Amino acid sequence: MPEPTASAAPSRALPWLELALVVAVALGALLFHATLPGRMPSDADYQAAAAAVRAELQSGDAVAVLPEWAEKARMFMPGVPFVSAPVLADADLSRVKRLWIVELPSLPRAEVARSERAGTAQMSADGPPRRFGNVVLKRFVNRAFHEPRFDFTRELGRANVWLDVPGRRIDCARDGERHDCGRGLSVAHEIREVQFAPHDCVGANPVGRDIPLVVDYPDALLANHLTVMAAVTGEMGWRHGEGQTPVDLTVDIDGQRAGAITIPVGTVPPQHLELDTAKFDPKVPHDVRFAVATSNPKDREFCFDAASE
Amino acid sequence: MPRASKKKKAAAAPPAEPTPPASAPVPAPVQGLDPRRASKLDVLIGACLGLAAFLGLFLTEKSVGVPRDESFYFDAANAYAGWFKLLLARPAQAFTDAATSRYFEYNHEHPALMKELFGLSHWLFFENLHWVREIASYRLPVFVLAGLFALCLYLFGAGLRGRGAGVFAVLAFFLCPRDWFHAHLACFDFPVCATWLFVVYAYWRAETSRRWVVLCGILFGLALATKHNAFFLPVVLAGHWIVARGWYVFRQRGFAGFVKAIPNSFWSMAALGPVVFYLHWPYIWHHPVDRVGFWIAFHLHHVNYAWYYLGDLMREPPFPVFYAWVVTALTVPIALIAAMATGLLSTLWVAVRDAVATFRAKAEPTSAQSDTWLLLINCIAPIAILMPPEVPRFGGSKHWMAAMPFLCILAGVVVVRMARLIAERFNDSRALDPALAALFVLVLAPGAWGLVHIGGYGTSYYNELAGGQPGAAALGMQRQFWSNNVTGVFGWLNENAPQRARVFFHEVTGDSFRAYQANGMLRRDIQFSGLEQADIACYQYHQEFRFWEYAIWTNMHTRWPAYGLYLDEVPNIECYQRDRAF
Repeated sequence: MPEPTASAAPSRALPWLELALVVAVALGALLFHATLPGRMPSDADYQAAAAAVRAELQSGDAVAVLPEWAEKARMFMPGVPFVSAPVLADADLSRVKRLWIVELPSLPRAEVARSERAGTAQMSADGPPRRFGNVVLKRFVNRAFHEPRFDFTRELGRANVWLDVPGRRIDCARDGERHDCGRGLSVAHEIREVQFAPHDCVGANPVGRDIPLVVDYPDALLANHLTVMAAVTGEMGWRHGEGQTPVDLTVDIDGQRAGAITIPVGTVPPQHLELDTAKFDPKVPHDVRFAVATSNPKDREFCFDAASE
Repeated sequence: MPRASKKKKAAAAPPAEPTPPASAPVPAPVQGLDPRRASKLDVLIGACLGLAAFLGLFLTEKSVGVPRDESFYFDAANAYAGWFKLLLARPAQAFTDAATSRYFEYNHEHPALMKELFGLSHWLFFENLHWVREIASYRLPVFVLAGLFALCLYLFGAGLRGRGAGVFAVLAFFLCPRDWFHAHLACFDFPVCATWLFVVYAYWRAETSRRWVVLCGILFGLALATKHNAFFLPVVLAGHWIVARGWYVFRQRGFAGFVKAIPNSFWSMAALGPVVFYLHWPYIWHHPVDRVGFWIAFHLHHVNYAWYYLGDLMREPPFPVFYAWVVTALTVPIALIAAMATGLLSTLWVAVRDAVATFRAKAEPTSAQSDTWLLLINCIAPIAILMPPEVPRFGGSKHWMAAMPFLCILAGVVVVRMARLIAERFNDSRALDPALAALFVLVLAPGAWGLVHIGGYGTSYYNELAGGQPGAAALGMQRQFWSNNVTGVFGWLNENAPQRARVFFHEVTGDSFRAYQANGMLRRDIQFSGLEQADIACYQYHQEFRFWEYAIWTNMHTRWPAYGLYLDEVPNIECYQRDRAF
């Protein structure tokens, strides 16, 4: 069978162009492979950066990595708070006082400068960058840092949890920060996936429409606002078309309905609620009650996070 | 090779370089001799390539872990081998509905051919002869198939476009890290890629040989018995025949003449394919309609697994139309892609140009034109099948691997063409071989480098255009599938896990775990555990499984991995120890 050498070359220049293209691409590929190892950080680079972080670590500090996916650095910093997010700019950094960024700028397609600019828009550089081989360490002070007056997720141990079964109330046994409601149901401080990012929140999977799951904080402290985040978590948020139903979260303050969130079926992003609580006396504790319910609890893995600020 | 005169032999051999120009007709058949028949030398070259492929796969087999599906096929293979044992012991019983249903019930959503071979190989080479380790015994039939595939690919490439293109095609195929990986597994993706090639080769040979007409039908049946992809083969080949010749016959002789001129290989496929398929699968012997119906329905309504692509987690249709083309561009070594792309475009240009000229002249299309269309259609069709937005997208490039042999031939054509160009520039035919050798090395070296670099983690390979694993992670591409990369943490586990440690292996099946222990890859005292009871949890990074990693953080009271498999810094497997640093 013939090979179409002649007919495949409509002009004299094309074969040479083809040769130049293939050779250039091949040489470029070889160059890529030859230079790749030199662009990787070594374990020693990570260890040196980790030692620098540890030496100056303060309360309120956290570490992020750029590019965001390159989370190997976590392995070298056990115990150091970490910001883990698909996109640093989308992460809630309001509770981080100082942010350390471990950058790996020489990785292919790293684009750390752009991510750094977006992620630290409300921060100021704190000292010069430090280089450890292929690891660059930077520190920023967060101008937007503020501590919540009351963190409902972290204060879950102070809450009472029960199921509002018609005609009676079934209390969930408290075990530290965990509340055991029986039949495998519990309410606890968990780390749940919301839109591919980890969220510290109150894991409270609904039981049914007529059996609201109630998480009651009898002595919560309020400030100007009460912010609430709620989501159906992990892959369950996306799931739809198999009888899944919306999830409702209601918020009552001192026995009065203050607000509500409904998570429609198939919703992946978290839903937010911001309540004006300035009218409540900030000096005295208030009863803040969250109740979660849905018609069909199948696949409705739910969590919420709230803070008064 | 039959005894024939030297003259006849010369006519039968594929053209040695330099090949004649495109307009040259195929040598006229010599009575009694198939002009497409390979010479002894070509069979020898092909056999050497086949042997190299077999040995290469066999010798590197240990580096490849056991993906989820493969572990299921191990189980199925054992069950099916049980039926063959029954057949030897109590033949009458083996043919009953109860026996065929019982032994072939498991994994009946796929035909049985490969699993039968895996099972028989395991029975012979592991249980009886103890020649190889257990995992290798299941995989041996695939390695043999790879050897035959290399032989066939060489003969086809050499027959169509000369020896240089044939050799290059074989080397290029196996130096694609993803193809190399899939050719290791006791699964169906590489086998159906091979049987697809066999059928196309037989179809091509059948144009000048009655024996190959019969073989074409049998091979089509075997392809169907390998995986359902083969359903598309008659459609693709019919498309080829219509484009290459059918339209001309129709214009000259009308519909009746058209039907009469349909190549015998189609009738052979129609007649022998279903027979071979029926005979190979005892499970359908007593319930052919119901069970074949189930098989077809299963794949018509196949569930779509979530799949990460350019930062989007694809869960349901409509899927991106050009997904398969983009993934190919990012997972085949880029030097090869360049050669494939120029080969595809230039060949397409020539084919269309010649077809238009032939059509206008009302001339009869030549065999050369037909061969060109055969290559082109088989380059494009396996990928085009994946283009409709409703077709599930999970699984990566393995689903259209059948296009690769043909694309590799076209890349070989380009490399040979470039070598000739250089030789012509120097006006010295002695420059051809050095130029060809240099170009072989230059174009194949990046793939070889990538292959050595990625090792047994083939589904994690991304090419230089993607930026390797780190670039692909930044682009938001699937990092791996389905759990075989876990072998990357076995060394650490074997060294560091406490005695009788309970380990949660995310996404690893119990059968894979047992295989790892049985084959000495993982300490035998380590226990397969659920997350709640685990001392150590090893998470496999998939975008849709992010919730698992956070569940591990919650459950094991740690957010800091103790160890991991990081491919060029990209987290693939991360192992957490309970309570590490809280």
